[in-house]
Amino acid sequence: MSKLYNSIVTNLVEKIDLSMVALVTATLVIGIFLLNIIKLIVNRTVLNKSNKQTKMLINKLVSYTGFSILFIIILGEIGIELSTLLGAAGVMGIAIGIASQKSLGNIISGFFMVTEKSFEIGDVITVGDKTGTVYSVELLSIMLKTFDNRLIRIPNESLISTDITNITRFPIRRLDLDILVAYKTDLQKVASILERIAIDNPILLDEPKYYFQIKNFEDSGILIVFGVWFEKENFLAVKNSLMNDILIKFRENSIEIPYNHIVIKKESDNI
Amino acid sequence: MDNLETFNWGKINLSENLKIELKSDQILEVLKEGNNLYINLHKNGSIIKNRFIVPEDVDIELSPSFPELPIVIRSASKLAIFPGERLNAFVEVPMLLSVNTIIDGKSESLFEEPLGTLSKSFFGNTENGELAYSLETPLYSNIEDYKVNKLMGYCPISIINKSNSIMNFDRMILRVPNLTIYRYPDYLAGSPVHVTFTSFEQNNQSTIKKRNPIQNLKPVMIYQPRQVADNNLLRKSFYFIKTIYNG
Repeated sequence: MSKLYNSIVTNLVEKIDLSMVALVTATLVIGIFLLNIIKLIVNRTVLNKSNKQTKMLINKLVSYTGFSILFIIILGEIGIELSTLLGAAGVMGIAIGIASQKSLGNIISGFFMVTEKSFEIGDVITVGDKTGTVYSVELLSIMLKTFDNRLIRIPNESLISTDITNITRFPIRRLDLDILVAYKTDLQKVASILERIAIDNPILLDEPKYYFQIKNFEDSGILIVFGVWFEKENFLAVKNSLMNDILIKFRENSIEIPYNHIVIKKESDNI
Repeated sequence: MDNLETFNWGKINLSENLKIELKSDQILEVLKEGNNLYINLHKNGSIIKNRFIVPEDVDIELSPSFPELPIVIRSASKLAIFPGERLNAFVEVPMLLSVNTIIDGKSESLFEEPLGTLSKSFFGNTENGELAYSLETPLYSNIEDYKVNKLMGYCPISIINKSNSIMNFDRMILRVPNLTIYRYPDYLAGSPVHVTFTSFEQNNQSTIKKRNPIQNLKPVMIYQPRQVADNNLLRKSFYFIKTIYNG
């Protein structure tokens, strides 16, 4: 290592001159230009029909490989002996290998994730307790952009061993609402009110048909599941309008939604 | 104020502001000041304002158009077609009003407003189907059986059952964005659509005819299809074959 260090310092101090600076600059400019051309060709040919995350990942790989080669070429140009460097690389390799076990695991996991195609850039996914839009796919991790505009980095290794729910994979979704109604309620009436709500709401799809299920007899009421289909981007509008419609129609038709009551009594009450 | 029932579709003269009643509670206003074009829609007591900066000598036209999504049509009554038999019918489709610019003969839509109500639906399976509008129709064989009005488009469809069994008509997709609009004295009509049914398991062929929808009357073609079908015959056939009756 000290041999390499001495070699670099000696060469830098002794050999730097204007022609070398020009040569290095030219190599750098031409190298970056060639690298961009290679990326363009790869994008237009091999990656032409690939999805966004494959493109992002391969582009990063091409960039890293390209810059590594360019770095070695420039080292050669400024007179650093490659054999010395390679000798040291063996020792460094072991050190880097031990240090980068996790990173390597992340890279490999990343490739598995890409081939699985469980999500794409722009999809809304839930990983554990985190939900957000896939913002970018890096070599070691993915970036999730949350709805309140935070960026979360999730390492690929965590992703591969966790359940991922892709919320926006398909063009339409179903929103299921659990609705509790009092035991005295006429369930036929509830069914027809909910049907009317599903038909009248313009942002709901009339096919596939809405879903209605009397699910269970709970402690304080009858549990009903009401599911409606909608275009995936309308989630918030659908949820807000649907809950509002249900509340209004239930009030109009005197359908009780049971909830827990707390009765507070004063000590002076003789009960 | 103009009324759509009596309005002649086509280029409009904007030396005076145009006010046109779309429905009982909707008024469309088009006005031009220099290169500013204002298209305002008065709806339920509020105004939706649109402003466009256009070339001063631009031509503006008002035209009807079919909805931007295909329509899944369902028969209002139970309908079955026997083997070898053909159903000829008309589908009544609510139109949209389009305000377009015409520059070098090319029409560009700036504003659209539906003149009727269509509910959104989905055709196909939930993984890879497509968004569509939904319409229940009596599928009358005579156009006169409808209460014909100028805010609707009447699309002639013809379905022939070439299978060996009775075809129970459930629903089919009508790709209105691919239809041309023709104007007759009393109504608007879309290009005729011919469907050949072979079986529910197989994809069935559908073709859009490039001819007058109603043979014995001479119409004026007033609006080209929104989406031009692919010129490649194979691709075009596959496109229609694939999606006609697999919902």
